[in-house]
Amino acid sequence: MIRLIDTVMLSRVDDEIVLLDGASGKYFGLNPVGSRLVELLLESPDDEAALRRAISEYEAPEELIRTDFKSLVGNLRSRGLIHEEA
Amino acid sequence: MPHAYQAFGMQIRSELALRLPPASTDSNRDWPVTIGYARVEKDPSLTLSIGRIRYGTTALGVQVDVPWAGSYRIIGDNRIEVDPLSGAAEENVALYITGLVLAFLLRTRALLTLHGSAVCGDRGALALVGKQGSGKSTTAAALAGLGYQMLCDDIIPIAEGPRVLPGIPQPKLLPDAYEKLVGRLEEAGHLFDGVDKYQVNLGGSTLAADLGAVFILEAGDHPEVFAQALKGAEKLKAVLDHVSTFAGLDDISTQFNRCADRLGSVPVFRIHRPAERDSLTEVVDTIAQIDKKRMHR
Repeated sequence: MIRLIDTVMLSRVDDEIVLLDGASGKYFGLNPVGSRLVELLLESPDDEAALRRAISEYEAPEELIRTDFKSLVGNLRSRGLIHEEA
Repeated sequence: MPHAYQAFGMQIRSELALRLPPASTDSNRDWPVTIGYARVEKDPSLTLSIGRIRYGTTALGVQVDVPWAGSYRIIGDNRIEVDPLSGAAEENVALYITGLVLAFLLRTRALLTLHGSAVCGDRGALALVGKQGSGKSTTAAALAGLGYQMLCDDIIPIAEGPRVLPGIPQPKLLPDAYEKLVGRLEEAGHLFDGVDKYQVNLGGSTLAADLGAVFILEAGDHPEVFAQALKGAEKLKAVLDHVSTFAGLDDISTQFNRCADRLGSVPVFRIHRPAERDSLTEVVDTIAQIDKKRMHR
């Protein structure tokens, strides 16, 4: 299951999710689509389940959703904001 | 206790005379606070500081040592003890109670505290924040000239709602702003705060008000005054820069969550103004226009 790193805080402001990395003091703002994808990611048992829900929610081509989703997850991982929890 | 005041939702009884609004019969009685003289040993072990002012938590409460005024102890959420430095003028000792020690006391309640000024209009409170010298008090005083009521100066306590609690509704103005907005300096000696500003009574409100909008005042390399609406992360980060925090005592996660909770649905604007010229009238007009549009939304 995907979880936020312990030092990362999440808030919703103006339909956008804002993440604060308490360790570095850096803020990360997500647009409405990115915000929904993060919600799905944190609610679902794994990446694939979250992606399937995203594909069912959006009318965009599946390949485009898949690319955007993987890019977002990669970004969150590389910035040390999320981790896999057993 | 010879003096009774009301500010920040507190009903204050004090042995020292303070520059605070006097208590009225409708004062909030939920938060009684007493301020009195007592022995407060200067504590060399205090490690946290704001300039030369040292503070920290001791076994008896939060202590603040101001080397040129005295030592102050905050006990629980309802008692301030003051031990003036020998020879320090009472007015100078009192200045640090209203300007600093009460801010420590506000920490004991779940308030979001912004550093700035607030006024109250027909559709709620407008909070003005910005860096030192950005014109917060002057802009608030100028808005008071348009019919807004002063609500807070220096410290803006925001409770759930979000509601702005009435603070010290007397803006402190630099001499040039005083002369421009109020009157002749020669007749204002009694208003001098003992440092560099004049504390003016422009007829403030003592009632809490819903927070309508936040304006971040910023001087820069712009020829004209203009407003920029902020959203999402940019908005949250911009406001958090003006949250009053005490390093070592306040944690970032509490401030972040409280700020998102209180200000998530409140419009926030950055007001850009030229640094090179006086643009007070334009800044005030821009804020008043935004507030007016809010009213007709």
